[in-house]
Amino acid sequence: MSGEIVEAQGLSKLYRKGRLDVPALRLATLSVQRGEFVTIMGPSGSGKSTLLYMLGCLVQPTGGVYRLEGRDVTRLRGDEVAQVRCSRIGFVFQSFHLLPGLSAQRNVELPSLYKGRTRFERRERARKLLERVGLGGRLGHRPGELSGGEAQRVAIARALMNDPVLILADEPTGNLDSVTGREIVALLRQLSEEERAVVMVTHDAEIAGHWTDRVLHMRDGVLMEG
Amino acid sequence: MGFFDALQTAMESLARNKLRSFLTTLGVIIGVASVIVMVALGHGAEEAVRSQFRGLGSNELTVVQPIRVGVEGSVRPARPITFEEARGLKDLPSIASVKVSLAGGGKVVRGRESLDSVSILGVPADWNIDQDPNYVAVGEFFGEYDVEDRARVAVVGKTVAEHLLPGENPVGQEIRINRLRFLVIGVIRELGRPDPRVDPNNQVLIPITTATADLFGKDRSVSVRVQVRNEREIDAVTEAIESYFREAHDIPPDRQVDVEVFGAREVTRAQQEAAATFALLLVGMAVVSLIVGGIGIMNVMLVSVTERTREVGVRVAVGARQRDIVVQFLIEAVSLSLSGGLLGVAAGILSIPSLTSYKPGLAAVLTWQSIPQASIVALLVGIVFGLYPAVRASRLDPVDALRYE
Ligand SMILES: Nc1ncnc2c1ncn2[C@@H]1O[C@H](COP(=O)(O)OP(=O)(O)OP(=O)(O)O)[C@@H](O)[C@H]1O
Ligand SMILES: [Mg+2]
Repeated sequence: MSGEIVEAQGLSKLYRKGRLDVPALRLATLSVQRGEFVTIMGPSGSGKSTLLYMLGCLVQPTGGVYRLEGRDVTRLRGDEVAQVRCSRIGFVFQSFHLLPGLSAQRNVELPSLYKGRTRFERRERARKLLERVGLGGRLGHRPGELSGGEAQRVAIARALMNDPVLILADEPTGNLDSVTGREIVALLRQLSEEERAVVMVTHDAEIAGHWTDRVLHMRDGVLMEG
Repeated sequence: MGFFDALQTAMESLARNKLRSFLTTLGVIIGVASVIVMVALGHGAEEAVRSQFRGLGSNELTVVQPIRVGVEGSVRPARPITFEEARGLKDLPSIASVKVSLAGGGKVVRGRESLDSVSILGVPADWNIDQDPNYVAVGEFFGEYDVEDRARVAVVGKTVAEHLLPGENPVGQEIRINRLRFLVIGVIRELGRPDPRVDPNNQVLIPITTATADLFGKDRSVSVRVQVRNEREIDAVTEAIESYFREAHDIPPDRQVDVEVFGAREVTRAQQEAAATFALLLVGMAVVSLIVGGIGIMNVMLVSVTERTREVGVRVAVGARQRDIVVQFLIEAVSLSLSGGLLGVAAGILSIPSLTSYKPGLAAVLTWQSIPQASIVALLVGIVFGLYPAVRASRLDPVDALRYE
């Protein structure tokens, strides 16, 4: 299967601060193909996260059209958006965002709680995913008992739990040393080669240049190719 | 998210803050426990009143002396109903019989043995006439002359006889009631015990005149039960009794007579009024304590939502619907209030025996209905006070929540 996963045209976001309109995103247009690994770079405050969260249906655009796998997702109801997030999208964050009270395995299971699979299926799949990211021996560990690299692997396994087509990673290496960071990016690269698309925000030009297919730049809310 | 997953999530989150969860439920625990205790005491009191007036037949009246509270708030006892006055009721028309007695408690002593809190009943000589031919098992009952002479004679119950006069013929022995000497002239046969809390054999009967003059004082009213010939004449007899006492007590026509005549009807009504007042009090107490408990739960849930802002963000990011978030926090609040309710029921039930043993006069009757009632109320408290924090959690902006430190 080939084709466009992300198809966005003229996406905009205005934040209203008092009487001031702050444009966080101005007419961003981009498309991402299946199997592609795209990076977004740019200075702090330029709107990278805003774009990424918009692609993940966590932020509603104030203008423009966004099609995910050909379906316009900008006009969906709350429950439908949740459904899209649940089964089509996987998030990876800079500070991992694992739930501290749950074991690695239960953290990975989390997205499937909202998809309604049996307990047994959930457990099996979470175990397999953790094995796949090299943490087969850490199933019962709490996030506090894991290193940063391990925690990010758990987070990636969690993003894969409901088998999404689009993985969105916001500075996934930001809290890791460069060796560990490279391992994580290599893992994301692998995922993009499995019929998925990966969009990653990073500040590391070397990573962006070496590992990814395409680099987009952002400045003051404007997205530029190359 | 399925219900059991939501329940598991809620339980785990509560277990992570055990002390806090317990302290939060304490309000509900105490509220529910005190309501359980009060309901039981209320039923007990009702039962006690009912048993006191049990046997007050539909054609019976009782005459009592109300305690009047004067304008200046002082308690002004009315002129007491004397034995002679009560006996005189017999001559009124339509009255079949009049039963007069004066009850009190006392300490009965013989030699070195003694019995506390024996029921001492002053009665006339015809007390047991036409009822039970074998009423007196040993010896005899006192006669009209004993009553006239205020004789210091006593007919004792089985329990008293066995305790104070074991292994001998009680008749002819001497006992002391509240330090006064009495001659035992008879023993009552063993009486049945319909109420296990009361021993009817633990009593001593003495002439009513002796009781009034020597034991209980002249200012106490005797209790009177009037048997009316025909039920239809109840109202007429009531009026007749009132005007009888108006004359006997010299009450001018412009003032209220100083006795009250009660029939089964009035007793029921008074009882219902008392029960209604009590129920109102109880509902007030329950409402106040549950509001306090509910506010405690709401407060802790708001804290919990704030603490777990990031968790909410994560859950929304991985696909939770608003509804899932509401349900998760609501189940948590309901778990708190419901476990508080159940613990409160247990605490209430467990505290009743120690309460009644501390004050033996208290009677408590537990009804099983209070358990489901308390549970339902606790459930509602959880829903009502958990809803706002839960909705608030579900309205969090996920991006802000994920950025929240
Ligand atoms: N909820 C919000 N309300 C108002 N303004 C916001 C909000 N979220 C983001 N912004 C503004 O939008 C702009 C873009 O923010 P964004 O987080 O997308 O930047 P970024 O490129 O991800 O920066 P960084 O590299 O520091 O993460 C910033 O000026 C920010 O202040
Ligand atoms: Mg950012």
